[in-house]
Amino acid sequence: MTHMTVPATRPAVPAIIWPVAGAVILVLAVLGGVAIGETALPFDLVLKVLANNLLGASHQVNAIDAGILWSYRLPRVLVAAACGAGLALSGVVLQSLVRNALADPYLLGVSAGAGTGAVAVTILGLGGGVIGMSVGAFIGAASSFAMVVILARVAGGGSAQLVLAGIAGSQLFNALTSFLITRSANAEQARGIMYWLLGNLSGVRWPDTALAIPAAAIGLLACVWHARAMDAFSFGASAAASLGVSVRKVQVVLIGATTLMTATMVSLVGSIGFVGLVIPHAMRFVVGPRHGRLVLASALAGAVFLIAADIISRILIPGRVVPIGVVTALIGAPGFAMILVRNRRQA
Amino acid sequence: MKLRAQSLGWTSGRKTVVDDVSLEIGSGETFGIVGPNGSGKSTLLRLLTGLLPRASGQVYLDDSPLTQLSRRAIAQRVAFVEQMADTTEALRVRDAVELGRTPWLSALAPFGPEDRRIVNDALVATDLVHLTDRTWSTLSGGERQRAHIARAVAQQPGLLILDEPTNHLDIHHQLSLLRLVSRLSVTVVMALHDLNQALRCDRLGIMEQGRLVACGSPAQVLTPQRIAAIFRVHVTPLHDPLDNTTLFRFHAFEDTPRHPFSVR
Ligand SMILES: Nc1ncnc2c1ncn2[C@@H]1O[C@H](COP(=O)(O)OP(=O)(O)OP(=O)(O)O)[C@@H](O)[C@H]1O
Ligand SMILES: [Mg+2]
Repeated sequence: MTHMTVPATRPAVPAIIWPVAGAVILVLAVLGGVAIGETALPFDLVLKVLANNLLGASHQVNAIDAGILWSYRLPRVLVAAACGAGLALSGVVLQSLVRNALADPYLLGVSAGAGTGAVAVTILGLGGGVIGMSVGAFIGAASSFAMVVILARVAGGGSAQLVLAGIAGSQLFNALTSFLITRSANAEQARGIMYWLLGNLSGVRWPDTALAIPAAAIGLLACVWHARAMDAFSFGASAAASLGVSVRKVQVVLIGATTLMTATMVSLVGSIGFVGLVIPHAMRFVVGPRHGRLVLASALAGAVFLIAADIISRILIPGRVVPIGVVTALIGAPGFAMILVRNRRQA
Repeated sequence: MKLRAQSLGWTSGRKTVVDDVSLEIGSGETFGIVGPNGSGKSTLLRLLTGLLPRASGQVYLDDSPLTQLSRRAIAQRVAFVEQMADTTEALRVRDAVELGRTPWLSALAPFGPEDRRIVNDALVATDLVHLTDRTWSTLSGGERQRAHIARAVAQQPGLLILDEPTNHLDIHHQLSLLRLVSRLSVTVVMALHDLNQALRCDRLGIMEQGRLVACGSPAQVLTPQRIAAIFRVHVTPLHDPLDNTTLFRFHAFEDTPRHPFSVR
C-alpha cells in the first residue's frame, strides 16, 4: 500500500447548475399548475396576468380568467408547493433522526394528531381562524409525536416498535377526531371536515400562503443548517454525539421544525400521506444519502410532486375534484411497496 | 493529549458497571484495557468520551474537565470507534470517512480541499482506497471496521479511543492497524481481547467486574498468576528470538490441571 493514490471524485458539472436547474423546474411546475385545470388557460395569458400583478404591467386580459388565475389557482399552487416541500422535509428529518426508513409524519401519527388539534379548535370554537387552527394542529401534532416516541421507547425502542407505536398513535388520534366530530359537529360540518381531512386544496386563498410558505421556508432553513448533523446521525445518536453534534439541541430544533411544518400543512389542507415517505426515498436514489443534497432535492421534488398531484386531482374526474390525499395515496402506496421490497433486498 | 480520570463510576439500576476507576495517561502513550467479557471496558471507554449520562467522577483532557467542553470541542480532541456501529443508509466508504470532519466544519466553514486531503490520507492509511466508492451494506465486517477507523483518523484527534479495533480484521490488517495506531502521534486508549496484542501497548489496565484491578507496564501486570486469576486460563510465556519478545500460549484449566503457574 505504498504507492496508492485515491482516485479523484467524479468530475462534476459546475455546482451552481443544480440550484439553477431546481429553480427553473419549480417555476415551470408552478406555471404548469396555474395553467392546467378545468378551464385550461393558455400560457401567454398566464404570463400576462402574472406580469400585470407582479410587475405592474397592463396587458388586456379577460377579467374572469385573470380572477381564476390570480385569486384561486396561483395561491393554490403555491400552497401545494409549500406543503409538498414541508412534508418531504419532515420525512427526511424523521427518517434521519429516528434512523427508520419508514418514518414519516403520516405513519408516525403526527398528521393524525395535527388533525385532531385542528378539528378540536374548529368544532369546540377555541379561538377561530386559520391561526387558531394552526396552533391547535401544532399542539395536537406535538402531543401525538411525543406519545408515539415515548410508547416506542417504553416498548423497547426498536424500529418495529416505532412503526407499531405510530400505528397506535394514528388510530387513537383519528378516533379522537371522529369522536369530536360525532359529538359536536352538525351533519354539514361533519361532511366538510371529513372532506378536508382527506386532503383538499380547494379552499386555499392568498392568506394561506402567508402561513404555508414561511413554515416551509423555516423548515428548509433548519434542515439546510443541520444537514451535516443529520449525516452524523447515520450511525446512531451516540455516534453523532461523538462527532461533536449536540444531539439534544439538534433533535429539538429539527423535530420542532417538522412539527411546525406538518401542523401548518395539515391545518391548511388536511392530512396528505406518503409525500414524506416516498419523496425522500426516491431522492436518495437520485442524489444519494448525504443530507446536503438530499434536503434540497427532497424539498424541490416534494413541491413539484404535490403540484402535480393537485393538477391530477383537478382533472382526473371532469367536473369534480378528487381529494389530493387520495391522489398521493394512489401514487404513494405503490411507491411505499417498492421501498419495502428494496429494503428487504438490502437487509 | 493527556488524559486523567478521577473516580469514574457508572451504575445501571442496582448494578455497578464501572466502579471508582482512576487513571492517568500521558501524551502520546498507547494504553490498552483488557478484561473478561462484561468487565466494563466499553462502558469505561464511553465514560472517557463523556458520552454516558449520569456518570460520577470527572475526566480531564489536558487539564480541562470534560464537563466544561462542548460536544464539538470534545469531538475536535477525541475520536471514538465503538464496538458496533452500523447504518442502513447507502453511504459510500468515502461518505463515512468524511463524517470524521464533522467537528471541524460548520455552515460557514464547509468541506474544502484540505478536508479532502485529510480524508484521502485516512483512506490510504487504512488500505481502503480500492473501496472508496463501495456502499456500506456491501462491505465485510473487517472493511466496516477499517472504515470506522479511517473516520476516526480523519477526525484528527489528540486522543483516539478504540473499542476492540482489531475485531473482524484479518491478521494482516490487525498488524497494520496496530502499527498505524502506534505511528500516529496521538494518545491511544483501546480495549483489546488479544493479550499478545496487549503486550505491545505502552501500559495496560486490567478490568474486572467494573474495577481497574491493575495498571502498569505489560510485563508488570500480565503475570501468569494474574491471567489465571482473572481470565481463568493457564498461560505459558514463550520467547520469539526474531525480535527478542515474549508472547503467551493459553491452556484451558481443564486441560492442564497441573500447570506450573496454577493458582488453584
Ligand atoms: N446500559 C446498560 N444497562 C445495563 N447494563 C449494562 C448497560 N451497559 C452495560 N451493561 C452491563 O455492564 C457490564 C459491562 O458492560 P461492557 O459493555 O462495558 O463490558 P465489556 O467489558 O466491554 O465487555 P465485552 O468484552 O463483551 O465487550 C455488562 O455486564 C453489561 O451487561
Ligand atoms: Mg465491550
